[in-house]
Amino acid sequence: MLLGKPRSVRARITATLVATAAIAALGAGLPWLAAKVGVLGWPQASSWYGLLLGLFGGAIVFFEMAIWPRKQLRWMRLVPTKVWMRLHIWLGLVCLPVIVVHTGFSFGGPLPAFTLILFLLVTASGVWGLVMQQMLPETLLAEVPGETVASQIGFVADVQTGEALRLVDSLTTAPPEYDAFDPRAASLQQVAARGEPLVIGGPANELFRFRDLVLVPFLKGEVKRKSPLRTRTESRRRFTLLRDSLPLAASPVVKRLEELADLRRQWDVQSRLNAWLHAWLILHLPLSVAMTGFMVIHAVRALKYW
Amino acid sequence: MPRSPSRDVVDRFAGNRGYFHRADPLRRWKNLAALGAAFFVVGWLVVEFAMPGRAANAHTHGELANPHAAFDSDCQACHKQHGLGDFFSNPLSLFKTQDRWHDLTCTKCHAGPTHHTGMKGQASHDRCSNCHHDHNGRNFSLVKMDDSHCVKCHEDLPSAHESGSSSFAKTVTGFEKDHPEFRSLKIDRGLKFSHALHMTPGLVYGENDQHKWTPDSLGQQFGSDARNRFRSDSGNPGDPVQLQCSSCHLLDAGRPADGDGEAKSDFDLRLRVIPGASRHSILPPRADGAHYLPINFDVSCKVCHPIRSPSTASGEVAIKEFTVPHRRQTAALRPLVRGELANRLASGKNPMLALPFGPGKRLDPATNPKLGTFGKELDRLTDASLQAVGVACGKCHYSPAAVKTDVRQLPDKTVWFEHATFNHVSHRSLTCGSCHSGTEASFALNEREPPLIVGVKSCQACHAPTGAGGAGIRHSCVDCHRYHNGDRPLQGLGSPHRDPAQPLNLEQFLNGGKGSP
Repeated sequence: MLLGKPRSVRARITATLVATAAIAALGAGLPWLAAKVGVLGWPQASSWYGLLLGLFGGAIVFFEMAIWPRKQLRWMRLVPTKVWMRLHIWLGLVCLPVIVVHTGFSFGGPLPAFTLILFLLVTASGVWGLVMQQMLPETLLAEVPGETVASQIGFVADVQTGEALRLVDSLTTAPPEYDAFDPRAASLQQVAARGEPLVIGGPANELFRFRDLVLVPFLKGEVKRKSPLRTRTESRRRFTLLRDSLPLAASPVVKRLEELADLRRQWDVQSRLNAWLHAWLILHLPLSVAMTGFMVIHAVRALKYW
Repeated sequence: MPRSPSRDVVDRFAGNRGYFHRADPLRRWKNLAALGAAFFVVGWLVVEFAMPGRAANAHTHGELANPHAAFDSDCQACHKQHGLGDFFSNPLSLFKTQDRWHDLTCTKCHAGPTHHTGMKGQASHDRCSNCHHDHNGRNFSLVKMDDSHCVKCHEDLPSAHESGSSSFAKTVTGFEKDHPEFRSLKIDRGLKFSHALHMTPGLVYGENDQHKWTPDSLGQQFGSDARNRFRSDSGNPGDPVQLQCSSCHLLDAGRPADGDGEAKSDFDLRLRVIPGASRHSILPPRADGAHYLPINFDVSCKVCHPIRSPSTASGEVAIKEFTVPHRRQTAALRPLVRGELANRLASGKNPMLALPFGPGKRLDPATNPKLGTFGKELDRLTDASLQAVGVACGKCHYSPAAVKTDVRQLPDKTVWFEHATFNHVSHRSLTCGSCHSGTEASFALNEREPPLIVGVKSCQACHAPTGAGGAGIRHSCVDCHRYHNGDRPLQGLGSPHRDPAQPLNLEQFLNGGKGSP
């Protein structure tokens, strides 16, 4: 993992937060204390070491931003991604006290203050992202065994919906000759053996109503919150009722339909977790870009007049 | 053959194998937001170049103080730029940010006279911004500095001087801690004057003194001006005269308002004692009242203490008393007195001048022995008169040993705090006696009074932290002292030492002095 050897989620999150707090407190607190007891002057951005810290912090920011081209140019294999990411994390944390001391514990003018606020937001969003990255992958593993590509959940759901429709059709229409190489050959073989629709009459109507009003909308993701299939318990109850109302030979098909609904439920969870896992980047990246730009403007202006 | 579960997973993507080439919504939003941020920065860069003044507002630490408000958007008005040329000529100059921060051009508009010559580290003292910190808001005072600025040197003043010594207090770290006593208290006033006597009703020498001065008796003795000037509040001319501090000490002798009849009348009485003086030639425009106007004999004392050559006689010629001017030593007074005596002695009835003049009407003592007698008589009268006048001077003044009829010079002390500023108007809610003991009859009637300032303790009663026995009222160094002596009463803000080398016209001033010669 990014923070070292894998430990428990709780330990990794605690380590992340404690490391952030400790680095910030030590890095900013020691110069503050030194200034209080008179060993060092009060930190000022325009003092020689204030400027050095500013330059050092600026260099760190540039390195942090370099993770973007590093990702775009991954084919160049510059430095192992894991090493780069660790440096990104730790230097980012170190940058916090460096910049805070550079500011002299004050916001300064509007633009330096704006830049500092951006910097703090970038750091906070980064730490937030780090915590999410420590916590959610294990949750995903536990709660979404049928994980798929997050960005393709919509596409895959359409595929699953098609399968569900075909499975229901297979029960209510006369079976065609089956293709031995069809992935569903086993179940089709059973259906084909019948020679006539397995479900007819009232049960067929019930099956169609379940398909159109409950199953397909849920598989397509149209009624996530209102669907009775949203919870595992209710889903199991519904499918049990369905199974009981159909001939025993239809059970494998009903079982497959339940699996599809189960997968869809997992992917809903995956979508939600994935949003928590990655959405912070929508904040972290643009804030970083803006902060770097304003940092450069601030540095040029400051070096010109201060 | 059973299908593997992974085959099921793969089959979901049949026909969609290249999905990873397409941006997913998350990545799309992320990139869009980053692009927006980049545009925002570029937009700001446009502002930086197109509207540098407006952009400067965003970089400043804070608003400039009111006197510098015109330069809020113009860094170059005060700051010297550090350009690429400076960097290439000396790359290490990049790290001299403190120098750059202090590298200002204040002297375009200001001059700051040196505090004291011979200080160590004069270059540091010459840097305005070492003490004057701007960018602290419109109402921030640039001259209200923290004591630490002063204590840096004054905690060990000798070592702050190149000579290693100083005639001033060696250690001062705070007004309430170790501020020395006022040096003015050690100065001999050189004047016999009893506030106690003058503040006693009727100006009597104790209970047994039967001669109480009343407006009526003053009028009989010194004329109607005296009567009017010292009339009692009740208007009864028989009331004992009661002088107030303000009978002599005035904060402001400016011309009273037209509607203020009493003040105007009083003003005219004071003015009348200086013959020929016009209002505007004698009295300045209305003063700010920080300091009391100097006590002037003609204005304050003469009405009751006129200096006169006494009445005398030469043979049958009577010579009436006549007034002699104040502020003349014997050498200067002698020709005046002698001339006046000669004028009076040379009246038509003087037998010494009764004989006709000699041939050619020459006034020749050799041929007219009586004229020599006239001269001798004039000398006698003059000496006697000067002796009498000298006695009159001695009522208030001391004489030097050499010439008994002369008076010893008084210390030239209109202002007693020469190294500090003190504003009497700010303290007018206090009685005078709160700080000037003895003005409330605590001295013996004829005691020779010291300068009547209680001392630094009286100031510290209010101007010290509450924990140090004071009332917590401001007690910083700069509340009384000014580094550049601008508020020193005897130097002042109007001193030419504070003028800029080259005054700016309005356009140059508002432009921060850019383009000025």
